[in-house]
Amino acid sequence: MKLLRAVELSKRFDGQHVVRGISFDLEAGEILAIIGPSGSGKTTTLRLIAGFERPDHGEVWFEARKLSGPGRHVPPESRGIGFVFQDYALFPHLTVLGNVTFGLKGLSARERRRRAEEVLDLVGLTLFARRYPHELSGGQQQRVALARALAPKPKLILLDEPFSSLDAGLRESTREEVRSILKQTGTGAIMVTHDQEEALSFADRIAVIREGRLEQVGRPEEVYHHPATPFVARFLGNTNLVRGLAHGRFADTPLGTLPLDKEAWGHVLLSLRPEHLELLPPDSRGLKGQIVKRSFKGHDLTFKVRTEHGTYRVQTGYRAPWQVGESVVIRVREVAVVLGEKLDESGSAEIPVEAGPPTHREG
Amino acid sequence: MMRRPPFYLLLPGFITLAAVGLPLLYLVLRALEIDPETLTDVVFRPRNLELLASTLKLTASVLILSLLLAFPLAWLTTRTDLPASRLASLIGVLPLAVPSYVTAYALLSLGGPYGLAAKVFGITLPHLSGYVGALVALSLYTYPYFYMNLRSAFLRLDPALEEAARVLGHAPTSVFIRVVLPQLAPAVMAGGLIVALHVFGDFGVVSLMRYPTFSYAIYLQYSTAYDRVGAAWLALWLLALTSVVLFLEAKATRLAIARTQKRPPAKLRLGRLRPIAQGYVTGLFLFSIGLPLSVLLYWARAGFARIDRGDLLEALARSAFASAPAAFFALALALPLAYLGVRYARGAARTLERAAYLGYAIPPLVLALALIFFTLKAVPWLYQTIFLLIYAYTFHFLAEALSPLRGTLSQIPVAIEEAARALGTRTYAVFTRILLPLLWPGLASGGILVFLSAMKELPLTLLLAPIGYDTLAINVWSYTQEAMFAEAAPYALVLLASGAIFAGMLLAWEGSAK
Amino acid sequence: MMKERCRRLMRTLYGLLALLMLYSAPGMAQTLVIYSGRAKVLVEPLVKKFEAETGVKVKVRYGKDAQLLAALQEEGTRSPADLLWANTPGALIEASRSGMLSPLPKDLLARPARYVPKDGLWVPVTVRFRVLAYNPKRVDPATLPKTVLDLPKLEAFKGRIGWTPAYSSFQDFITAMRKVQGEEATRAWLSGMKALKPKAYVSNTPMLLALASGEIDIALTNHYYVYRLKYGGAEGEFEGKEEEEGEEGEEPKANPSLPVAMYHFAPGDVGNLALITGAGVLKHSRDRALAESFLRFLLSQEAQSYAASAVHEYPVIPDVATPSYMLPVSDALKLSPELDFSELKDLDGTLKLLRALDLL
Repeated sequence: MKLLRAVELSKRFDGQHVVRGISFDLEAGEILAIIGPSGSGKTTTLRLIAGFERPDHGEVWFEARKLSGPGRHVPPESRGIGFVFQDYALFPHLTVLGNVTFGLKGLSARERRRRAEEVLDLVGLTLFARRYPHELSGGQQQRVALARALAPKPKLILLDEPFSSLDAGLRESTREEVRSILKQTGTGAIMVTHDQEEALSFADRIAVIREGRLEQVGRPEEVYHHPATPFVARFLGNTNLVRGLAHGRFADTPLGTLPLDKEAWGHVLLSLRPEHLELLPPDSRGLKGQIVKRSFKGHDLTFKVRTEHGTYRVQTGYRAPWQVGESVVIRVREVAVVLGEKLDESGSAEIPVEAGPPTHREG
Repeated sequence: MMRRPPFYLLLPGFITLAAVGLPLLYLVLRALEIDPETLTDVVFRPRNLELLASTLKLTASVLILSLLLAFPLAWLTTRTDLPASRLASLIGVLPLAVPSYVTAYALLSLGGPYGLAAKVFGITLPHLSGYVGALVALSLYTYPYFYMNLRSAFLRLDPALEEAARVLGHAPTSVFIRVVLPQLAPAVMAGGLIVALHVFGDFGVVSLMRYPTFSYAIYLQYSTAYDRVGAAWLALWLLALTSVVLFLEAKATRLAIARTQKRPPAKLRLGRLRPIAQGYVTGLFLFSIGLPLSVLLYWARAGFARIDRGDLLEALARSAFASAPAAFFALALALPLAYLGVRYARGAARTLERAAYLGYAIPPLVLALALIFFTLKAVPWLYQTIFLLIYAYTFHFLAEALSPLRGTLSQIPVAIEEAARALGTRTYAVFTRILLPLLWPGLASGGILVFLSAMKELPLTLLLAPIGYDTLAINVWSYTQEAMFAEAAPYALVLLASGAIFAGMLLAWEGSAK
Repeated sequence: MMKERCRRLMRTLYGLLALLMLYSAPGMAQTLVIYSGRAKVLVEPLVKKFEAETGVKVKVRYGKDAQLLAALQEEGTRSPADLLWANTPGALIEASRSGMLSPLPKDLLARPARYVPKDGLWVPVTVRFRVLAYNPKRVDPATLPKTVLDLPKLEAFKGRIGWTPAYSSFQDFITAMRKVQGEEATRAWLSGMKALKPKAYVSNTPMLLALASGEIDIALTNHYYVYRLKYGGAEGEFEGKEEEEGEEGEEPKANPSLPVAMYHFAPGDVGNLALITGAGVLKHSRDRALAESFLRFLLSQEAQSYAASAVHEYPVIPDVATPSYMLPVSDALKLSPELDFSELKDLDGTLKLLRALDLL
């Protein structure tokens, strides 16, 4: 049996569709990341599952129990689902221990105490049990929030942008820690984020959401390497969108005839990640161009190369010798990913041409 | 901001400290002049314990009643879909414009077989006086202090905290008790402190209602005995009580207030309860504002015929002429103090800014007595002049000028001043060309607040106004004390009207500033 | 824009205030400063009349006698006061004793028919009497005692008695009782009264209104408060207003049918004590002649008959008519015990006694 099933969830606020017919499910112990830009409806989806909001349409099933649906709305306190808030929402008037025992019911004081110590041990905060939230660092607060949500042993935990308040350095280590705790306890989780790197490294599966609709659900590698739509391709990292004419496993493009990841026919839109391109000396064979921008990023270099067929982004090793103004040739090193088939000649309405992945954090 | 504040910024703080501290010193000196026989007679007698008990009893019950009045209103206006909630918010603040002795007046003239209720409606209401009368009048006046604090606390509450408690398995009522209420504790403490200070300091209500508290006893002692040493000792008692309360409040654990919320909280639908909520709000309005106003209007019909218009205008002029300079001086002192507190928010500078609150915390009768002893001994030429009254108003109400200025100043980024300096502007010019124009809203509200408070002030005026300098407040009080309700009404109405005009100005200003 | 508006407004405001100040300032006219222990309602019409007649500007500081005396003592030579008009003989005696008053000219001392002190430092202005007020709807006067000393025996009135321990006339009455009956008897009387749980009022009019309302049944007060409540107060001819205002009827002040009546104890009982109000000129007055001219005004037929008709107090100069509803002067005087007013000087002792019994 699935742990959770969301069926055709829809929600409107003030007449505006925020979530439109979203369906997905979750296996026991599985971690799903819902990713999308600001205002795409991902947090609302989470709140629909937690029971803070009632769906206008659709159902939420938790194991064999219907939580939301026509004529039925189980209040959040009776769902048995944990929730970790973006700013942690720790009770400022309670100690760490008080926060963690808050959700423990039907247990003797001693058992509650033992359970709290157990989860505090799990997150490595045993020594801080008597502290108040404002006496803890951001990372520690984050772990208290997790411990509080884990204490009642829920089978599912919802995490709303859980790492967004942490410093960049702390974020990665905390993420790994939380993932391992979830796996260790066998707790299923749904995390909402707008950070593609976070989603890719944290989740077992990723759901990309846009304007209230699911664009693609799949394993991180699958979604990254085989985006189903131009939006997914652009949202999960930089990419070059290239038009081409496909005939079977190959397509003719300005960069030459390229091998495709799957069979396609007619006008297609292809995605070529910058790291799948390379630069060669100008006397090589391939599409010629001129370097217009060079950005040094430490472990790699990113170039913008202007050609007669548009500008391409190319990522190379940090030793690449080229400078702005020099002439180069672009060569493709990997198969191209087919994003859409049978586009008409001009059909670029679907392509957000300048829309790169978000570089700002959701506020 | 590790710079040391320049001397001219510290000076007003020292002036304030001295202006309030020195008179208190003289109060102590005067109290020490007591001969041993009178000492046991006046200072250590069971009567004082009774006064302590009755003062504490009244304070505690006013705290409870005004909290009970304010809490539902604060909750209704922030957390439910109560219609016209802006209007309801106004009801939470407006009673501050009605001096407590006017409410006492309304209650007194209402009951009994010769009261207004009997005359107009033929119903004889019980005569409210003593403990119950003082409790009702003071609670109707002080609940806005709770309301304002609770309202902003409700608005600051992070709704995620309540949701967190919900998903941890707590039903809404449990969440309210275990999560919401504890979050409101600091607001209740802050409001309660101000309410307690008001009850300690109140003279008008307890004297009219004949309820013996320290303030009332000080006045009786002061006005009946030839020797004022007894009054001085009672004043010290009250001062000690006030200090204990301030100390306890400071000691109470301060919780870190939850960060400002990001989403507005969900508003509860009142549904069938809506008429009850509306009835409650209407009732509160009727009692706290409607009642005093209609009682005044009723008596004023006869009252205007009985009193001399010239006297009325003269009383208004006297009130205004003492209050306006006080507002000006309070602003002049508060401006550098606020700057000190906001821009140099550490150590000695902060302490010095706190000095402004000293005069506010001292019960007005105590301050008045201290000033009498001080001026007679140290600056006799000030005694029995209007300047002493202005002096007292200035330092007692300084805190009221400070708060809005602080608020406005902390909204102005330091960078603006630094930018002006980088463009070659001198300190003085930065002040006049940059700060002053930006500070106008704060200056206007601070000045008007002090002006209105001084207009209403009774005990300070009663003891410190020069001979024959009968202000509006004094007239209201002395006529009411003689049960001459009709004669008191025009003075009270003019007082309320001037309050309404200036409060309206304040609102208009705030509107135009936005 | 807003700044300009503010500035203009402040300028107008201050201009207005300055004008008002000029208006209320004494200017060049002579100024007389009175410290008055008597209530404003009683004093003000007389002061206005005097101002109108002489062009002198009069400033009055109202307060209780003790408060004014304390102020005079604290102020010493710096006091602006010219004249002390006290509510009680006790305060005048205290003022004489501490050397605050200056001797008065013979012609002034010769005016009153009685009560002129031997030292000649002050003159009596009016006379009033202590009475027991009762509610005739609830109390049969036949059940009331012949002497005030028996009042503590009235167990039936427990919690239904009104008095004014902080009020100067009450304190003078206690001083007289101490003189006539002795310290111990007075203490016993006060303790006995206290056991009946009397309600303490700050002033007399609210006490009598409470009496009329049925909150209390009997009250120790001064005679004129009863008249004032029933027959009206200090308005009328002196302020040059028309006789009747039409709306008068709805005021409790002028209501002859109000259930408040006066009870006199047996003649000579200390409960019927006659008390005088009086005035003296202060030693540090800057214009004694002016102060004396005000005293002469107070002892004129005009002022005395005003006091009788408007304030219901008995005149001290002969041949002044009193309103018909008032007990005639001669009868009233017979009720009071014979007592030299200079005997009422030990107010301090009275205050100590009241404090010792926790009544103050």
